[in-house]
Amino acid sequence: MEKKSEILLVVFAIIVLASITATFYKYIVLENVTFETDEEAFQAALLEE
Amino acid sequence: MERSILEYIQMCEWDPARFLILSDNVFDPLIYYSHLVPLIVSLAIGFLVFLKSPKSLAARWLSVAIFLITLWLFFDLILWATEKPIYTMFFWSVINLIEPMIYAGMLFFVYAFVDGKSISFKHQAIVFGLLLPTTLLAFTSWNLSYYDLTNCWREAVEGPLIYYNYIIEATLVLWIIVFGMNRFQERSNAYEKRKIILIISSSAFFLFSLSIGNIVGSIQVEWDNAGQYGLFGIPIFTAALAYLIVKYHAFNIKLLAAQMLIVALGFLTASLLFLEDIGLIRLVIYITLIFFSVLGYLLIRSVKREVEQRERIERLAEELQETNKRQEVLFHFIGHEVKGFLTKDANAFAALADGDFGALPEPLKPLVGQALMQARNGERSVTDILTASNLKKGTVAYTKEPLDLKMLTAEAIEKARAVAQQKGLALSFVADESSYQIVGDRGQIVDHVLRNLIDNAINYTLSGSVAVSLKKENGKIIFAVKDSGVGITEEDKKRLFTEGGHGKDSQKVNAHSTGYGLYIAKNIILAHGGTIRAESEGAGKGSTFIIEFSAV
Repeated sequence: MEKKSEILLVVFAIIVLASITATFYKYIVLENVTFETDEEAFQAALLEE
Repeated sequence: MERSILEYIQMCEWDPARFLILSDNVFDPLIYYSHLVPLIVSLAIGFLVFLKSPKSLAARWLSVAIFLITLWLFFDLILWATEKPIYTMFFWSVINLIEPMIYAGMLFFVYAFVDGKSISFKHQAIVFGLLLPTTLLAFTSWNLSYYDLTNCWREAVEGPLIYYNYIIEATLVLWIIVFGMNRFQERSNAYEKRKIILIISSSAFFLFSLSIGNIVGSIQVEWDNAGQYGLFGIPIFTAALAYLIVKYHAFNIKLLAAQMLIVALGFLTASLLFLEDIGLIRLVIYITLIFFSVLGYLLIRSVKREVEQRERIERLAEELQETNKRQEVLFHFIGHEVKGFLTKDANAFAALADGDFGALPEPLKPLVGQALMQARNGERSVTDILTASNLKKGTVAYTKEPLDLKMLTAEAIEKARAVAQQKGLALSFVADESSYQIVGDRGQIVDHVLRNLIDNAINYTLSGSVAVSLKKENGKIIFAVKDSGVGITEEDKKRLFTEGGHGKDSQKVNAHSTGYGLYIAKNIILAHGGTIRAESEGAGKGSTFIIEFSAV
């Protein structure tokens, strides 16, 4: 493997790890989750069950 | 009345997951089966492929792709089981991030396998460029828009990035196929063509197995069992890839199929214990049967071939041994005959040179001297070869007695002095007043060890000096011959003490070298409980031969 290919691979791996860390921080640490629901549809779904 | 998110979640009555993946939220045991079987089998194959050939580029990329697949399967199982929206959002995001990377890993693997080298930097940069938006936007609402509480289905709603991911995945699969077609057209060898077709189609089916859930999910809207069946293709095509790799000897894996079968057999059988529905048990048995039929057939065929090859090799080895024995007998007969003729010739020339048949005319004297030397060289070469053969057969008998190594060395040096002087070499011998008593076979030590090493040093030194020394160190006697001659390369060192082992250019310097001298010397030294080694800094830098004897 060429040296520059290896460097590119390492840089990409770092970006991937950074992205996973950011995702972890947003959802697991900050618990920053957007919820959506519709009261009527929700009731209908509960009744169906 | 406005409800809080917590109230909605409580109303859904989800089962809390144990160990991330065990919960009643996983409505069908088939989910465990479709995820854990590929996960365990793929992980086993990935580790085996990597451990057996850690330096192979193709093995590394296949291991990376398999490792990502096992992560994908594990995270997907968490999504089926978890009741926590934060876990759903995190693991779903990561799944969307790593899925296109599996395709990229397979593309790199295919390049490494077919071309035998890494994908070019330009192509690698293009692939990473394609993956970059997916990577950078993984935590944004472009990837997952929100958590949908409407139906209590514990689902995230995917953003527009998912369509980009599908396009990348399709592009990478297309790239693999086009690459395969190009290489197929370029190669003229039928064997190579078949190899390309098999590896490309297996890789494509492997990726298709992974994608089928997404495709079915997209068509049906609901994520139900149908999408799970595709995952069973993962271990089958992983096994097919591993088999192809073994078949084409890209990696050195002989027992891969057997090891994999044992791992999978244990897991598949154990998993039946957890299924209660008879319909599911039947399904699992069908899948298991298909899996084992394919792998079993491949394994049996490969074992059969191996057994046939081994039997053939054993037969050939027996024939070779017989032929060797016959040749050895013939070789000994010829050797002894030739040695007899050469000895008679040498005696006759010696008698002529000594004037036993009257004074020789002056012009004849150098010719007779030359002929005597040649006959003795020839006799010595044949003796060396016969001795080496006897050593190999173990038919050399040693008559051991107390010997004064210092005296024997001095005698050997005196015999070699005339030749050294003729070549203009300085021949020296240094030893202190200590006693250098050893127990050994006088004839073997003098003729085949001391003289051999001293003669070699003179023969392979064109100018300069040959210094012989004796000293005592830690109860050992160290005999060393140091010369300023042609030296020994690292490559030549490996075959220096082997039977018939010439240095690469040794015969250019010493045309009479048989290649048996050092082999004989080493065997004799070993039979006397000593060691022999050579040191040299390389070609043209001289060399030192060192023998260690146990002192009496």
